[in-house]
Amino acid sequence: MYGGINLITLENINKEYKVGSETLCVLQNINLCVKQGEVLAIMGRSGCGKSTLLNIIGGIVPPTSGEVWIEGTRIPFGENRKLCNLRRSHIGYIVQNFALINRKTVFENVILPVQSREYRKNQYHKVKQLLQDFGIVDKMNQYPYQLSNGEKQRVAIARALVDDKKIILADEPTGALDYANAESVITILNKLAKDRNVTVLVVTHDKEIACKCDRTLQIVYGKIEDK
Amino acid sequence: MRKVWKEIAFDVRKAPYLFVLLLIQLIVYFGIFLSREQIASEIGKAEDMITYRLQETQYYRLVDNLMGEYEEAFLKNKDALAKLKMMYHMLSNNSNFEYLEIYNNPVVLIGDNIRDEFLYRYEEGDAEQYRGIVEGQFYNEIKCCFISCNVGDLFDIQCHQGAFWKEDEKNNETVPIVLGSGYSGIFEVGDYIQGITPFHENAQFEVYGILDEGEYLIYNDRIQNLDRYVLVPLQDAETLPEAGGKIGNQIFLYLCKTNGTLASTLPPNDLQDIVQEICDICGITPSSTVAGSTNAQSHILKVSMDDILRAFKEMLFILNVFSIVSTILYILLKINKNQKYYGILMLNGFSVMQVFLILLGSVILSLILAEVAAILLCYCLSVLGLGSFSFPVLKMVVANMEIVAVAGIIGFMKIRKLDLQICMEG
Repeated sequence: MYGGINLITLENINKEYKVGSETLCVLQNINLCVKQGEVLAIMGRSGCGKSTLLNIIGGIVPPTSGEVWIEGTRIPFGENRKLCNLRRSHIGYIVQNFALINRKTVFENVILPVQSREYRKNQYHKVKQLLQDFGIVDKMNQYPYQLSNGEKQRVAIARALVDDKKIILADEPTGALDYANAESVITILNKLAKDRNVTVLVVTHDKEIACKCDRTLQIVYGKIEDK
Repeated sequence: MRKVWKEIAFDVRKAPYLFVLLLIQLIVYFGIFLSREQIASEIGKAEDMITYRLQETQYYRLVDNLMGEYEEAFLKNKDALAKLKMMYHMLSNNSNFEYLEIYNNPVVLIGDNIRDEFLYRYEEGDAEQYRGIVEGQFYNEIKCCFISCNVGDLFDIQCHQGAFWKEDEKNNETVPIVLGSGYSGIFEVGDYIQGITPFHENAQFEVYGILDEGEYLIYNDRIQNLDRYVLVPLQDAETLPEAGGKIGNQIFLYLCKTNGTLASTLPPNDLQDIVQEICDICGITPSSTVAGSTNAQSHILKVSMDDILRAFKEMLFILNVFSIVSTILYILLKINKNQKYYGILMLNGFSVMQVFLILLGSVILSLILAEVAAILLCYCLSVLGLGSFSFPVLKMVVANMEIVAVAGIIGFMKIRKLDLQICMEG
């Protein structure tokens, strides 16, 4: 069960895109709080703005107006270095297409966020332990193209966790997976939230996946309908 | 920084063909760059070493290029002597310079009173072979300078005893000579000495004068002290006995006469143009070279070093622009091809600057490899005798920085604007 601290806070978030001479309003007046250790599902029709919302929280896309706070710190959109530091320290990403580097082994992909000489030895054991927890330690020296989709997604989750991130943003993490693997992934995410107090935001179309989360947000015409 | 180095190596391996293309292009650029520097450096040395300044007038050695196959071809020509005579006449009567006949060549003095220091190559330490005894007589091959009458006047060479020969005395049967001050006490004015010259098998020399101590002239770009020398006139051809030998007495005489020194206030390149014209009129190919000039024509290409350098400069400018453009294209292609990869890096803790360094790292790596290859290539050429090796550090740094700076600015601007959503999409 998640704790009472608000880890993520969104205040009056609006996002507009200019398409030719028209302005498309994707998100309108979004106000949201997400607690530490919470697993939040974000649902909605295609094009409703759920991925945009996730990207704003992750600092990938700046809002047209409004502010995002993570652990009491405002996301410094426009300041690349501070944004990078924030991502490095707080946010891990999992996406539908796994975002693995095909020419690197599983180990090299997982260790990517923490490639530095000083921690090499420690991180080796940590990576090995993570992969063991996810049941893919035997795949450590293999390449992504040698893995199944389920295994790839577990590698992506391991990479997101390797340096103890507090927030995992998962955009359709089960979109390319069969039912069994999808179940497995969502179970892992729930376990993370429970055991490591990681806050997980999941964008999904799948109601069954959403049901397994602590809370579901419905985005309708750029606005939130809380369920 | 270690993770950046790792990713640079990975980045290069991802698109090796692009990297190799860029590398080849940069090797060509730096190879030509260094070659140009080698040529320019050789010319610079030539310019430094050849001319000697004495007050306002400068002295330039004139050197023929009739060597090897060119010499053979020239000597086979029945008009060879006529051509050399014409050339000598034109040189002696040119208003742009004063022509001095100065030609070092040893002669033999017969006698047992010739000290070692007068022997040819005494200062170089191998004079012993230049003295021999035949039928009880000492044959001494000594330092000698053949000169024309105007040399003494131009260099204001003074005699301690006696005087220089006059123009109409140079062809006397007894060859007039002037001795350096070192011969004082050994010979006196009026003495006769038996000897051998390149033109006379049995010459009789008459001492006309003995020089003051420390008198000198300028020969082959250096001051030549005359204390241990004998000065002999280059006589007119008509008075010489015809002799055998490879090239004949008279042709040899005129070769000596046409390898003199030009005294002029004009710069060497202007003098080279004049000499070129004279040689063209006389039909002498390849033409003689004024030492210190940079516009002497190559025998084969019929263009001067100046022209070659100019061509290199123009080529380098084009290559420089091409290098910058190709590096920019390389960077843009890499960003385009690897957007997702760079995006994944940035989502996983790499800063914009780190990703930019990874991108630029492969450019810098290719620059370093290209320079090393070009340096090795030019060094090999210099070992093979094609110029001396020259490595202008500052110019190379500037050339590198030009490429890195322009490509880097464009690369950084593109990386900064990279849309990370591309990684989030399916």
